Amino acid sequence: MSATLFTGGTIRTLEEAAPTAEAVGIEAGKIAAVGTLASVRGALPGAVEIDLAGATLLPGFIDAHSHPLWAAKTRGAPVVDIRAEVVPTYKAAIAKIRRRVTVAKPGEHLLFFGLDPQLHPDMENPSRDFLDGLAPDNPLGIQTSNCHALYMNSAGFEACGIGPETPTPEGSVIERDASGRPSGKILEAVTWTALETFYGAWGDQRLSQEFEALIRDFVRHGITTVTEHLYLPFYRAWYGNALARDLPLPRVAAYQQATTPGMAVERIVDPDDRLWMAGVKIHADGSPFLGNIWLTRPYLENPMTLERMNLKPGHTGGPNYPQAFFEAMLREYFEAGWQMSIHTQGDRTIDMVLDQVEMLLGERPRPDHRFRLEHCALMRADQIERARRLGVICSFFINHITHWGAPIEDALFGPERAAHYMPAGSAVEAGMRISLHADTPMTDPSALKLMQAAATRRAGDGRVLGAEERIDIATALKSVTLDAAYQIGMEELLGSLRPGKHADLVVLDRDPLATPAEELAEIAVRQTWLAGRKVYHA
Amino acid sequence: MPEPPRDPLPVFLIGGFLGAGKTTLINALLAQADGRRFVVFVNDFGAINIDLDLVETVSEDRIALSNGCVCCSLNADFVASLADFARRPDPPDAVMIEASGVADPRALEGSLAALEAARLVRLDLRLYLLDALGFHALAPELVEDIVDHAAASDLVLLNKADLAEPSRLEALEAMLEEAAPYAQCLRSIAAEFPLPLLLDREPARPRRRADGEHLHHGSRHEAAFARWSAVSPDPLSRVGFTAFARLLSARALRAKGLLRFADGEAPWQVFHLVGWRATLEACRPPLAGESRIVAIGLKDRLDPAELDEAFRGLCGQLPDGARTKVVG
Repeated sequence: MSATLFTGGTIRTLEEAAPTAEAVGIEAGKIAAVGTLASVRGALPGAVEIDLAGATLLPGFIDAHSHPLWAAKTRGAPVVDIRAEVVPTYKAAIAKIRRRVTVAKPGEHLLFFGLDPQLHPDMENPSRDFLDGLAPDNPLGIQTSNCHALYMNSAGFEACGIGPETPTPEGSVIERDASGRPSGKILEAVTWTALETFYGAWGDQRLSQEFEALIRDFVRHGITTVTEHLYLPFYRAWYGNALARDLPLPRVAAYQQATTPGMAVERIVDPDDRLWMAGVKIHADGSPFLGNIWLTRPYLENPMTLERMNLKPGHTGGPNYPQAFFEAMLREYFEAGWQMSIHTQGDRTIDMVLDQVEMLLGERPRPDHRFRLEHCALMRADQIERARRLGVICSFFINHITHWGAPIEDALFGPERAAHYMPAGSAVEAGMRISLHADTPMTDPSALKLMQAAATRRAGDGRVLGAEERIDIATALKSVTLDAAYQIGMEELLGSLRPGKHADLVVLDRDPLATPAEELAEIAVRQTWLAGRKVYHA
Repeated sequence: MPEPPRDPLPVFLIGGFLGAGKTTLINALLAQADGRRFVVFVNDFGAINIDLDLVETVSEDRIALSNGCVCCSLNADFVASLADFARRPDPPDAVMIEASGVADPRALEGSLAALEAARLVRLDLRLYLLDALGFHALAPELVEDIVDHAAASDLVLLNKADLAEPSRLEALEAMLEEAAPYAQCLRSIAAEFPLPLLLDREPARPRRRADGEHLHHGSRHEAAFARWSAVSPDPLSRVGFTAFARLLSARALRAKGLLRFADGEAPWQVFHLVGWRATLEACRPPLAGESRIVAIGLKDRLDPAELDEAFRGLCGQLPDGARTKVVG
């Protein structure tokens, strides 16, 4: 492979010693030289030169918490999109479902994504009986936009093999009537198991196409490394297949999902660093939009929380797993040496997890464990300080602010908690190396949108949630490049432009550091390079 | 004192599936420009029926007409050209963007977001044309795309309504009432729609009576609209106005007001309503010192008497000081 040299634009290396450069040269998939044009030319004689023509070259973006294969399953056709931004009301969503049922083939599995207790203003919880009336003959499922809950009709429950006798798995919820019959709604891990029945019914061809579309969507947004934060053992074949087909699959840091102790964690190592097992993920709690998170202070009480979300007054939720069970899981995988990545939204959940981290580290110190907390919606100031002391790092799901900012402030938690919701600013202030994520499929992949969200904290309706939690653009850029690389344990190979690192690059039409924060999302991605190859150009 | 910032350039999105009547509508707009200078972004120059006598200059991506209107092609640089138009010392009266037949009009909205944030443009109306004659025969997937796009618009024109079978037309209207609850629907013939009417957005000089009589002369469709306006020397209740704005959004297509509120902080606000999107921003007090508001909507939705009564209820109430939140 011949060498390539980039020059003629703004080059931001993300390296503190020399944050900008005149030229970057790559060879054999690696960054070979960074510096003045003359020095890079000298290092790579005969390199093909690419004139950036004023564009900006950066290390490729890293989304530190995503689900690419699972996103293809969850939102790709034939799943019908009923998110509130497409179908504005519950009534309209039900009408759309009804129209779909009328043209369904006998026995066809029907799945709808995006029911939203916060954004569908007339949201109701559809019961199993109601859905039976809607679709008597087809397995039918409706997944919430936060991904954590599923409503099904009788044919759906039957297809998934969930009946009155089915025990509720630890960590999950199956709502039941007085007789024990599942009444329509299920939550957490059992949701994702049930959905596999639908995906399976549609076959591999469908998933293959949708996965390819997802892969192209990531690279179109300049994202060259992703994580698969709900890795299940058979996923590996899909990545292998994508690479064998020469698709521009971003590098994948896999975090295998654990739901019990004693699960075998796959050891995956790839000499080219395209796929590796980075650690173990456990859901310590659920979604703030469903109410199954654990809080020290209750939700507000209003029609949204009491009726649309069906919470009781004074609701403070709880953790997914009993504490002892969770501790057994955590202890086993942490002591096996895995990096842990724990889904935590409520502050009381974070207390529980930090208590256990402190205990485990007290028993057996472990340097550089990079214990990760995911999302961290309601993390308190004292917890940020404690996390920093323990070496625990946070990845913030900052798009909650853009997509659900208004209901978070007005209906779920009030202005005081909203002002520190996803407290990225406080974490940076405390000296933590943070990352940001879109949690695709929950929101669409775009590192620039993440940066804008963190730098503005502007909600969809124009309000700003907690101006003091904003971070500057340079920090936001680090959190989707070098610091995200640190969080996945790859800062020596990814996240900045330094000789020896992988040649993963993005070319933007504007320099984010010279762009107003409110316009970051409008910056266009011109090119994406992955492992030294151009995999996307506008 | 610095010059007050000028109004952002109004932008109209015109969506619709192939054959819904977008080009017909745009041709009609150019023909009825009547002294207004429109900029029209279209996918396909060829389809636009430009009177050759009017053409002043032609370039690869732009045709300038002697009546002051300009046709541009909707290419990758359109956001930049739009910003250029908005920054001109003498900007056009309005911009129309034809969203390509199969494209999701929401993607265009995304492109406009940065220009809106910079206060260069304001998305004024999302108009969606739907072929009421051919709708029933479309494949289910196309129906769903069209329904989704209609739901993301402010006004749906049920075009070719004269040719559609009445029962089918009614079924379509009933379906859209459920599926596109935030959009208003209007039957239309040959894509006729007096869009320039919606450009009259100066609340300081309401020119029409509020009883819904003809707003302009010359088109039978103008009778479909009603205009309402009101003036109040008394300050308004902010909380009461929130409820009023909600009512207004269900009744009117657009509204603008210069309003004085009873609470102390930034008492003068400019109010904009388009479809279901409403904004209030601080502004300088007008010379007249009175609150003024004007709204325009479909005649069968906008009842001036109802709005009069609701608005009167706002005036002269005591300050309430509370922010308008579901829960505070």
